[in-house]
Amino acid sequence: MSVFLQPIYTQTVGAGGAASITFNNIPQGFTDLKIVVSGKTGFANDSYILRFNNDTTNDYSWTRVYGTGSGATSDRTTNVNYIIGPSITTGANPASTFGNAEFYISSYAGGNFKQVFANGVSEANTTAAYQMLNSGIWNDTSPITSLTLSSFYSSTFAQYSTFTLYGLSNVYDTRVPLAPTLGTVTDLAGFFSVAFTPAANDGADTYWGYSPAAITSPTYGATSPIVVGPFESQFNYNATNWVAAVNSLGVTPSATVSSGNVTSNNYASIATVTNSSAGGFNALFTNIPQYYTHLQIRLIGRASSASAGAPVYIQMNGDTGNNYSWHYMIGNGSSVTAGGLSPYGDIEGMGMVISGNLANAQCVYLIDIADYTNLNKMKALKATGGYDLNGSGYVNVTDGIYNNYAPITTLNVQAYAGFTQYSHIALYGIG
Amino acid sequence: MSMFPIATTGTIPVSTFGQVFFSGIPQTFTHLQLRVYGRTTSAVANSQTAGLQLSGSTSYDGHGVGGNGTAVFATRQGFFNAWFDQPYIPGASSTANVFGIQIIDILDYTNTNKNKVIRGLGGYDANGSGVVSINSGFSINTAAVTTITVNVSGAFFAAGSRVDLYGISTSNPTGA
Repeated sequence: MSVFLQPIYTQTVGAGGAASITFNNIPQGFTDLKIVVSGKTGFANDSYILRFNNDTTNDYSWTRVYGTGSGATSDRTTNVNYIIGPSITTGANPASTFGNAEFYISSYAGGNFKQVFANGVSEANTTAAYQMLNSGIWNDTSPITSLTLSSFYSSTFAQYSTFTLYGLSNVYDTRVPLAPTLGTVTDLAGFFSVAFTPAANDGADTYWGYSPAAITSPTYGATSPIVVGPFESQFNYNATNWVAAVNSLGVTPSATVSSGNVTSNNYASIATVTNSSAGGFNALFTNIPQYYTHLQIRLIGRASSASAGAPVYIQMNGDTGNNYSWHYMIGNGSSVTAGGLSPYGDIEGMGMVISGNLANAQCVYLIDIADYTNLNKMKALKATGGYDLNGSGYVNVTDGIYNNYAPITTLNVQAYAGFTQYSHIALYGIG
Repeated sequence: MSMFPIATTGTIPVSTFGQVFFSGIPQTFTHLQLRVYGRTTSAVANSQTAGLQLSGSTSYDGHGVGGNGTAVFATRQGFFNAWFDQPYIPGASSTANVFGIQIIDILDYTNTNKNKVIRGLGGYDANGSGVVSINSGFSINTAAVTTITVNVSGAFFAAGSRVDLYGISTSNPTGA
């Protein structure tokens, strides 16, 4: 295996925090070391400090330049017992916000003084935030076998702070990789998810998913499965050589998949929500895959509400602001009415069977959201459906728009007072 | 190796692309790194028009500090910007064939306990002019990053630009 950036060890701070993080027994076979830190302490305007081999004598010096958004400063300190690193936190130090920093230590195993370069930021939606470049020297010729990161203000690193030590090397590949073994191929409506098992000690730097029948260039992945495509739907494909092990010396494709030919369909089920117990519920679809062309919701159910006309209502990407508008047209067997609202906090208009209506009657809706990943289009929704109550009922056409260009990653499909027991809301991707 | 290519534009052949969009980002890495070799068709010389969005989120704050060879500067975007401003890259009036470099790190991008803090290093030298900076960005969103959009506002990426997305692991999948 080619070793350019080799993870040596990761430490994640648990509940209660940690006063310092130490990496011991550092391997000596790399050229340089790199530390990547996503960290937070409890002290305002804090910075990392770095020491080597437990040396706490005044054997260090450092220089830095930093900006706060309104000014830039450079300073230097010599003959101290630490190298200062980038800022960790800002004065506001808000919840769930961690600094982003990295350190490079060149020729750490050599016989010269040890140079450090670091850069980092502590951004927090505040007027002042730090961006910092640091250099430092440890005036010692010993190889670095351990290093310790701690807080300039002797604070503790917060839970979820992560510290990863990497080794950098100039060792290169010595042989072509070994082919993986293909596993199950799953249809994703225009794409296929291809499972694979790497060969032992395969020497691969990465894996490619590709097919001569696919339209795009290879997709990359470190782990199984890899998504390959797009393909034309309704055709059979022979999943031969669809995953390859790759390094700088070659590409070794897999053999034919054991399951033989596969078919790409128009539709693929993303998720289904069904409530088998009593009580209202809503359907929240998150992490919606981004590789389909359109989305479709298929809904059969009724609302727990007793309010006449209580509709299905839909919000996208967690947006509950007045960023939607919608119109509807309904026929009740003898007349037609229409209406709409704008701006509004969701898309409504799709009337439902409610509590008190004919027992066990359900409304049905097909709801389409076209081109849901397109950054140049506001997201338009079209619904057709309705219900019949053996003497009354509605047929409904609704359209709506979400005034936002962002791809749809989350859909919240709701009913007033929730959907009743056995209601069924399914989300599909369309190729 | 712990740094893996996820997706790339390749060398952009024509100046007709205003955005690069990476979707379906695997959730199996620990960190993401975006590497841009770019130039824009904007008439602005120091074209800080390559903006970044994570998962379609449209609320960012950002700061930067840098130098242009004669002076240092510090900037702040302010609250609730639609895009995170990346380091400067050259515009159309810069010396021909000069492209800028941006290295953008997004740490712990799948961790739902963390807002997303972006660190950008970048710059270019145009043989008599140029700029270098470090930039920070903040997205008030703890959701995992599933898409990244790189945008050139009111202009296009110049032909010859490229945008590469890498995933960085903290473990070695092959055990080598």
